[in-house]
Amino acid sequence: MQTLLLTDVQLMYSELPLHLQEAKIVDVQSANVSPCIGCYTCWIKTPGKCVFKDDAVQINRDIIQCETVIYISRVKYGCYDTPLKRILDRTNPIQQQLLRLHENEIHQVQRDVKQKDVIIIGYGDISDEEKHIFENLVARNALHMSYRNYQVIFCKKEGIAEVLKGISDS
Amino acid sequence: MEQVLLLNASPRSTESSSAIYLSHLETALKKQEVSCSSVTLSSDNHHELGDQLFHSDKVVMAFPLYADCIPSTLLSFWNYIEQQASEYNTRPKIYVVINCGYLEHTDNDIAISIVKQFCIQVGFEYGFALKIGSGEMIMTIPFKFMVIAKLKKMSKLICSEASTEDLYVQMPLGKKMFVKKE
Repeated sequence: MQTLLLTDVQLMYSELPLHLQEAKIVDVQSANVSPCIGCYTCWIKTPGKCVFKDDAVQINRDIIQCETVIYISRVKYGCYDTPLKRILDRTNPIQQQLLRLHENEIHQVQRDVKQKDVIIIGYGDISDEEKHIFENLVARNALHMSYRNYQVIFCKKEGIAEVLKGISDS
Repeated sequence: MEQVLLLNASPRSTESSSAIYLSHLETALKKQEVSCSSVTLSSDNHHELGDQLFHSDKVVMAFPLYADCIPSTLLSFWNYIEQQASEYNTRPKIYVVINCGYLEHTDNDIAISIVKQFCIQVGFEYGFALKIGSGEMIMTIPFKFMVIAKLKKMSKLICSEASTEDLYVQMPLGKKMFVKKE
């Protein structure tokens, strides 16, 4: 799998450009994912394995293996909306408990995660301040989760298909 | 008498660092004869806690940083609060105790910006935050007194309504000492 697409809006197959029709698409609204309970079992007792055996297990496997991830989320209060955030909160198993210094900041050590390009499409009626916060948030995620490259694109909900068409497969 | 709601919004519930911080804050507030209620957020008590929140004068939300920002469980509660806001004509003032596992308390800054956006969009007044770095470790080692001192200061500022910048505390260690030795 080259590309993983996690989305909180339902996408029409016909709306996707050809190169994204091969992507693995996960509808985060309907995915069966329990919220992380912060037990740290995935770091200490069973490293890499979560206590919950739900859809997040396979999603984490896909995040580890893919080379490109596209996240589509409504932006709420300058943050990802709840459905996608629930999945991001469950990515602790793909990180180790160990810490590292990177650019003079403390970050987590990743667990054999492929370096990847990440595109984040944030949609909704988003104020300039919320856009600024969201961009800063993604920049922090990029540092902590070792993104190779990333791009944040804002649009209205009805503009998502157009944005996807503009994403090249290079 | 003024009502302060202490809301533990940690996904780890009563076994969390947030619960410990709020316990110390509650002790400090009660010494100043403030009426406090302590509650813990869960997926099935949004209605009950939402009602308590809107009937309080001040609310202190305590939670850890999850993936650099707000835990999804708290975001879900905020969405409920925003939906219910039109049913109430009261708006409590919001305070925050936020902790991150990393050493630097500044890692909490983006989450604070998100809290402020939530307050703006629902019409709450934002008070201030206590940002705690190394929050997972700091209460289990001798530096615990630094956090308790900040929580006492927070209680006084909440009572006096003095305007203040966000407070912060973290372990007084160098970064290299905090991370793994290669």
